[in-house]
Amino acid sequence: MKKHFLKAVSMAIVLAMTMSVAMMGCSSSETTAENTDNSTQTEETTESGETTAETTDYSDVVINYGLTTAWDSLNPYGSSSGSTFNHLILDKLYDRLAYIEEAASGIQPRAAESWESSEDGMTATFHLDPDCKFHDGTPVTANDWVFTANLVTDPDFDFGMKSEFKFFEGTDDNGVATGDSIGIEATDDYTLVMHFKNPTPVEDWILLHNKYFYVLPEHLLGDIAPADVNSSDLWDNPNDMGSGPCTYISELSGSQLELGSFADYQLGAPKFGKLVYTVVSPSNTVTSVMTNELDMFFQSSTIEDAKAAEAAGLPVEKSDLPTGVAIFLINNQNVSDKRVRQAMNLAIDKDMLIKQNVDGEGVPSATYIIPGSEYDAGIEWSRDVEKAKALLEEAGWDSSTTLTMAVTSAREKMAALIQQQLAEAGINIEVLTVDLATEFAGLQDGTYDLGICGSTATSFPLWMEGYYDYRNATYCQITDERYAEYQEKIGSELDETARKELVNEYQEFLYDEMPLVMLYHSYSFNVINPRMQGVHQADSGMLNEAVWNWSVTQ
Amino acid sequence: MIKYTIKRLLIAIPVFLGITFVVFFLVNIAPGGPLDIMASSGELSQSDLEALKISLGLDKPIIVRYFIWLGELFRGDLGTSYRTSQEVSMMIGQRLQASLILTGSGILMAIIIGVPLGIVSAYKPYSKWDSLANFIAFIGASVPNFFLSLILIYVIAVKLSWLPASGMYSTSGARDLADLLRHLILPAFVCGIQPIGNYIKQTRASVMEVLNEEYIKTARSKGLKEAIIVVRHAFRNALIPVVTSISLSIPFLIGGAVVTEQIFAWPGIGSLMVTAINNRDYPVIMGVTVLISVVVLIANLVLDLIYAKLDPRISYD
Repeated sequence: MKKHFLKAVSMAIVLAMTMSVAMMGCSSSETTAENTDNSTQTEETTESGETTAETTDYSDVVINYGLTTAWDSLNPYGSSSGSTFNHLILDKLYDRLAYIEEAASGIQPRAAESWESSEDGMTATFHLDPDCKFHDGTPVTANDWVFTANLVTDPDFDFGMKSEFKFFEGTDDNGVATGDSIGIEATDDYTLVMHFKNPTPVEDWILLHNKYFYVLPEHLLGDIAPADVNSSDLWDNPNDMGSGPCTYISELSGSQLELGSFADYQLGAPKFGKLVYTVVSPSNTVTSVMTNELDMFFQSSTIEDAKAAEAAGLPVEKSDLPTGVAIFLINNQNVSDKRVRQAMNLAIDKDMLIKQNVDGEGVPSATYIIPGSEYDAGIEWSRDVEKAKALLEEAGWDSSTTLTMAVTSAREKMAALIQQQLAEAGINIEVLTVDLATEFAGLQDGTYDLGICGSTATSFPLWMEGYYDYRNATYCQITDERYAEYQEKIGSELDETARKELVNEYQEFLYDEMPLVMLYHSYSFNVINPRMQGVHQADSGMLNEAVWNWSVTQ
Repeated sequence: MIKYTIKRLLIAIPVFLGITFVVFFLVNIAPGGPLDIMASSGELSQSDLEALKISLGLDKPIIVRYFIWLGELFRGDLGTSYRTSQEVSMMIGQRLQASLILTGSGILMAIIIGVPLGIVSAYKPYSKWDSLANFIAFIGASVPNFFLSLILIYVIAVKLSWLPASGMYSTSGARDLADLLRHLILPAFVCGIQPIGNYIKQTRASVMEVLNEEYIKTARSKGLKEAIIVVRHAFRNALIPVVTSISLSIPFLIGGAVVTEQIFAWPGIGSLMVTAINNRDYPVIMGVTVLISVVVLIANLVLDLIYAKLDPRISYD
């Protein structure tokens, strides 16, 4: 009996080891699509005055891209998170009308070759590139764009960010269609016309809403009821759904995604065989570039990582503009007296924060607009603790009050500095380290008075409108409708000079009301493998990357 | 024995329901929810949030949501991720194999190294082998996984370029067994180092205790070979605490090595769970909880049955 038992145990161990080895040998259970891309491209080159055709095969070229957070869904309307990481993936598979450069400094053609606004700003016309195709070879026409807009705004279609479409005529304030169709039409196969509820310069629409508008194929989805589109089996293999520069190869959900090159992309086929996205730990990004396991990664490096990379001889790309902004969040319901908020702005030593947190690679902020950029009103901030104290006294501030500040672990150091600086003026704060969901929920429900967050900054005056809009779910519990009114006035102003004046006025107003304190604008640093060429990763802050310009030197 | 097994299985049902009930409530009442994470981008309007709340069923009371979830579970449906809109069972299925490979290799390595070293250490206390075993046990218990991971990556992957720093397979070239093993060595070593210490200590203590028993002296006086005395008589009787220690690693086997998976970008259950918790993706959190609780409950039952086999004095009849 005992011998039998020992034999059984031995057999079990052998079996377990065999299974383990067998499992190791198995290919992963990821969903895989047949790769329909063609990475062999023909290039026209001019040599000694003669034009020759040269064929280059890029099928062996693999670009490895690290993401520090997983994407959500390969369906562009399947997630409502607005996650940058998600949109960086969708940007490759699906096409948008235009391409936005770093810090909204320029707009380039993508699916649309050109665009213009009507004189009254109520209509925008996009002239589409006739060479656009879906990955199955079907041409993308204006009807596909119309179909997509109507689908997304359909009351039965399940998408959490419909309000991004509320500017079209025929939608309600929530972006839901009120009739059979909304204000978007195809006047011919390659002309798309949008009709807005209010005057909207076409550039404004592109900068604010182009990022959420991906074209879907009417020929594949047109016969499916809107309520059933997101649960359609077609999303199991999203290869044919897109018309972006990359094709879908395979996905291991939330871990690894393989994309191919779309040979017929209208702006040029990407010069690689595979673009592989892998979710990596933020602690392992730079080391993975050092070991050539990654070519690039998102999100941007910390200043410490950038220095380590430079020391290791890796190229570090610095953004042209300070495109990151650190924000001191104030719950406007808990801290309702603007003089207290102004005092906080004066008591915080923004120069010290820049020195300590980004090694001097930033500029103190007065408002959300990038200092020195086109719309900057030129408001000067300087630290003045005495003035802060005077403002607090005037407001009748009780120095025994302790405010609660919630921050994520990444911002503990900054919080400690701010705590000391505010204490100099007589504002006591208690710092709690929580995760992002807790910080946001606590600021929303009034549990926390203060917080810190970061955002991408641009020179576009309506870029951060959501932070100040009382209709939005905001960190700062803003109920004052005047911010939204200002933004609407700016948005509807078509005359450039008048708009600049309005933006200046708005910045003065914000600086006076101080609903939240802009701490500093900082430069971003991207560590890129030296073999990569044509990458301008600062554009990724605008949720797009010109992957068709990338190349690899062997 | 059969009666006992059936009784234990019946007891497991309320325990399982209790686990799911407690976890569901704790997760749902924790500050911050899935909508807060989505809204933190600053892009969602209050109306978007209201619509999402209804669409995800978050407008219903927690107790109602729990019974809806339970009803779906009994129909074999673990639900759909709030974040990815994918089936939770599919997400777990994709990750389970990777976790089993990583943690299974780590534990296997720990057993292969830790148990024999524990026996030698008990047989020759205060020898060089014993010192080595104690040193390894000390390292295993005291060096945090994340620190060891980063050191190994820096030395082995960056400086020496012997092994890759992350991932399960290379992104180019053949995805074969050799490729997997190259990627597996560092994370499996990190996973295994802590259990090695436990197994050494546990085996050493229980074998040492048995070696002082009268029947061992009798075996020696009968002139049996030392190897037979130690392996067949001493180790066999010292197995119960060792098996207990190994069985306690089973939740780790299924739940994955959270830190190690994150650092080495290993696509396992642990990293799935961390992402789900950060995003407050309740269906995924509950799906992983169900998996771990079922495995732990079954493992405990199997362990009790093994006890009876190992020690004839234990009877469940």
